[in-house]
Amino acid sequence: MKLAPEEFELDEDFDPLADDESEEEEEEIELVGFVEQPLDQTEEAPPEPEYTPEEKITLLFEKMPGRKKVLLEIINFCREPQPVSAVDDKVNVLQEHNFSVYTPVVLRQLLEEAGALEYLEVEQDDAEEDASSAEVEEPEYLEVKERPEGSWVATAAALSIVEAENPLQDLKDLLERDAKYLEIYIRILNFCNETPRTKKDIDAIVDDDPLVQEPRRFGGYFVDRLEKCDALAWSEKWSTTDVGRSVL
Amino acid sequence: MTEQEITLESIIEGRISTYGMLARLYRVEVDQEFLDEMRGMRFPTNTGNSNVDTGYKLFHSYLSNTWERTITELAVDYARVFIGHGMNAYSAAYPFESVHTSTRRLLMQDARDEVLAIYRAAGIAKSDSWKEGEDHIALELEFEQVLCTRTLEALREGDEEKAVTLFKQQYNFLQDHLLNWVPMLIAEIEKFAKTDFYKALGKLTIGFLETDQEFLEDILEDELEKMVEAEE
Repeated sequence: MKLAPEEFELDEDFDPLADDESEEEEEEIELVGFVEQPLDQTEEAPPEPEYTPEEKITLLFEKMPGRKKVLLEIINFCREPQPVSAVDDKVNVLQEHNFSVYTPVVLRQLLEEAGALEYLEVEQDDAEEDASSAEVEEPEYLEVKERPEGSWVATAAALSIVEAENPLQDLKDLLERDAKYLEIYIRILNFCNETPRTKKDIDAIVDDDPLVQEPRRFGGYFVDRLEKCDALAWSEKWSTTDVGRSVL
Repeated sequence: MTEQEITLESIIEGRISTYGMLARLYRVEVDQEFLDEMRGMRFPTNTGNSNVDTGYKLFHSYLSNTWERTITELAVDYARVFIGHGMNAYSAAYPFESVHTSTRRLLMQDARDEVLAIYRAAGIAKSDSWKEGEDHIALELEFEQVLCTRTLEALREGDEEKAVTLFKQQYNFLQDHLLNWVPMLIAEIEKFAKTDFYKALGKLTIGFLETDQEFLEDILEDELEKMVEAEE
């Protein structure tokens, strides 16, 4: 809305360069996130629960169900002390057809933190021990020396968990639990026992069966459960394992 | 060239290296190249300063036990120590002078303006790639390194007067800035660091600055006496 000339009045006392008194008032700045005193976080943090070694290892497997088999194999491989490089080579073989974002180093670290693996330093020779204990004077300079490669060994707690694993019983429990689909499971095990099969091949013998129409199931449902029981294994194709053959 | 001058030069060369190493360790996380370089170093055991000796021993101990994840471990600790989770001004050992010398522990305060003026007076500007404040400890240590380098050049050119002036600049910057706030930073590094590596960095930093202060006071003994007399 435009003002008519006669409606527009200038304030002749207005000085645009004069100090504005309202600006001189201190503005209260509300500080967000700023705390005058440091927060004492330790009082509020709940204590970390303490677990037995067996519980820690079991928790690790629960957190990483997709890597459980590999972790169990690593523990089994380290029944006797194994050089670091041998453990890493073993993991690379285990994960050759089983892509993982976890490198051998990370898996070792996770197992060590869970108390499943223990690192053994190389034992010093007696001669070296006598020499080092005889030294009185501190050297003028310290130098970093390459450490000889140690070895990894499975702990007793880890081995007890490996011994407790019973994939054959797990398979029998699955077939009993899913008795409705027993015929499908046996069909897949026989099919993959003849020769290694692709997923498509398995889908072709399962997906159209009347048993899997309601509720709707596909080949992958059964393959997943058989794999978890070690009845099927993937190596570019699906093959029946010894565990799977034992129920045929 | 006299034996004394050779020794002084080698001392300054050592100071240049140490300031450079410390600045590098504060500037960014350790990478594999720098880690390998540190593993090839020789760590003196008896320098006369307990903080320096402790720092070197901790470095040696940590570097003797590196493994495949050391770089990741150090990067995590660097973030923990110097960056923190940012919830408040006490969440990390913030490596900026302003944080430790301003009432509200804020960045870009008077300290930053002062050091910026000092850098400009010395003809030094920060690199375009540096996006942080100029009062970051890495830059302040690098500034001392630059002054040491200029001092060495002056000595080699036989310009003693210039060398003395540069020594004074180093001393003044050390007194007015680095030693004014770095002790507080080191106390916080001790609190936040989980690895011996960064604990070692804290010890070595404060120990080295202490020895450098003694060195400069020794070199500038006459000049400092004149200053005290002038004030009286």
